[in-house]
Amino acid sequence: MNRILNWIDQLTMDEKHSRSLRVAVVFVYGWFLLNLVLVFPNLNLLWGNESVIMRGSGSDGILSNFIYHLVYVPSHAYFVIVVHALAAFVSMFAFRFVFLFRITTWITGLMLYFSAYDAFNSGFLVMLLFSFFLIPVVHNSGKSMWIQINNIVWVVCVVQLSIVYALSAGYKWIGIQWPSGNAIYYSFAIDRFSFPSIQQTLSGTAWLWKILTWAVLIYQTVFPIVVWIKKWRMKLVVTGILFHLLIAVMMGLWDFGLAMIFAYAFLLPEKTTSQPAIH
Amino acid sequence: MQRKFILRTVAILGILWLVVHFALTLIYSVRELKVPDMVRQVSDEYTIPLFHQNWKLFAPDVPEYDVQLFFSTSDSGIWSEFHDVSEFHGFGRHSNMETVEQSICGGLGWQVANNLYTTDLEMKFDRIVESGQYNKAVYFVEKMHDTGDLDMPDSLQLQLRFRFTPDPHGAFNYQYSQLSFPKQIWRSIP
Repeated sequence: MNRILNWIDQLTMDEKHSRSLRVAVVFVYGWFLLNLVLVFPNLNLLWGNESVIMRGSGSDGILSNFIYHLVYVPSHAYFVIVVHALAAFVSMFAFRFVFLFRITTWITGLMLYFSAYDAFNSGFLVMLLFSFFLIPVVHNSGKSMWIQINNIVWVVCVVQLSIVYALSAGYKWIGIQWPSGNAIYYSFAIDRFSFPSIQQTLSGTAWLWKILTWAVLIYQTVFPIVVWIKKWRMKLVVTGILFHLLIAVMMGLWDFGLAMIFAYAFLLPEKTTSQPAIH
Repeated sequence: MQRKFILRTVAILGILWLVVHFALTLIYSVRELKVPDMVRQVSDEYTIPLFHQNWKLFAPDVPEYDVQLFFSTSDSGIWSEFHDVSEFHGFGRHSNMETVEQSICGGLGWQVANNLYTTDLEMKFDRIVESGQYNKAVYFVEKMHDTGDLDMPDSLQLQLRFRFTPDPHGAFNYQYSQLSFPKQIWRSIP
C-alpha cells in the first residue's frame, strides 16, 4: 500500500512527459482535421441527406440518441462537421478552457463516426479514444494536481496503445494464416488493401510475404512489453513508424497508418521531442 | 497535509475508474471471453457508444478471396452489363466509397453463407432479400446512381463477384465465381 501511495505522490512532483504530451495533443486533434481533408471530396456521400449509407438505428437512451443524432437527422451533418473541424483546430492549443473544445471534438467525432461507420476503420476509433484521454491535459500549469493528471494521462494512453497491439497480436496468434506466415500474402491479394503493381509480384515471392507476416506478428506481440522499457522505446518508435508507413503506402490505408504513427508521439523521449509550433 | 490527502484521493479515484474502464472495454473487445451475462451487459452498455473499439485488425485470418459488388440496370426491358458499383462512379480501390462497398459485401456474404437455401434444386433468396444487409446494398447502389445524375432505370439486379486467391505454394491461378441476386423494381428513395 505504501509503495502505491509513494508512486501516487511521485506523480505530483515531476512532469515526466510534458513535451511528448504536447506533441501528441497536436497530432491527435490534428488527425481529425486531416481526416476531414482526406474525405472532403466525398462529404455529401458520407454525411447529410445525400449519404449513400443506409441509416439504421441504435440503442435507446438520451446519450445514445445524442451520439446517433446524425443517423436520425442527417440534415444537421454539415453543422456538426464545421463544429468538429473548429473544435479540433482549437483543441491543439493550450489555454485555460481548452478542455471544452476537446470534449466537443470527441463528441462530434463520435457523431460523425457512427453516422458513416461503414466508411471508416479502426484508425478513427483509436484517435477518438486518445482525444478522450487527452481532454484534461493542461500544459505548463506548474500545479501538483495538473502534473499528476498529465502523468496519469500519459500512462493511460500508453496502456491503450499496448492494448491495441496486445489484442491485435492475440487474435492473430489464434488464426491460421499469421502463424503460418501467409496473412500478408492473402491481404495483398485483396484489391482494397493492395495495388496492381504489388499484386503482380505475389506469385513466386511467398518467402518475402512470410518474413513480413512474421515480422508484423513479432512486433505486435512484443510491443506491449517493450514499450515500458525506456532504453528500447526509441527503437520501438522507429520500427513502428516504418511499419505503419509501410502499411499506409503499400495498402493505401493512410488514415489508419497516420493515426498509429501519430500515436507514437506519446513515446517520444523528452530531450528530442521538439517544441510544437502551437502553444 | 490536507492538500496531499486531496491529491492522493483524486489520484486513487482516477486510477480506480481507469482500472474499471479498461476492464469493461477489454471485456467488450474480447467477445470470446467467458463472463457472466450481466457483466457482458454492463460492459456493452458502458462501452457503446462512447468507447466502441475493435482491434482485430486483419485477424484472426484474412479472407482468401476478393469480393466486389456489381450491379446491372434495366430500362424498358434492356439490361445493361454488370458494373462494379464504386468503380463505375469513379472511385478508386482505396476510397471511402470502396470501404463502404466492402462493408456491404461483408454483410451480403454473411447472408449468402447463412440464409441462402435450395428447394427442389432451386436457389431461394427470400430470406436474403428481406435482410437489412441486402437492403443496405440496394440503397447504396440506388443512392450512388442518384448522385451521379444518371437516367432513372426501372429495374435493378445485384451481383457478388468473387476472386479466390490461389494457395501461396501452389499454381498461381485465380478462380472466379459469381452470385446474382433476383431482379427487382427500382425503388424511388426519398
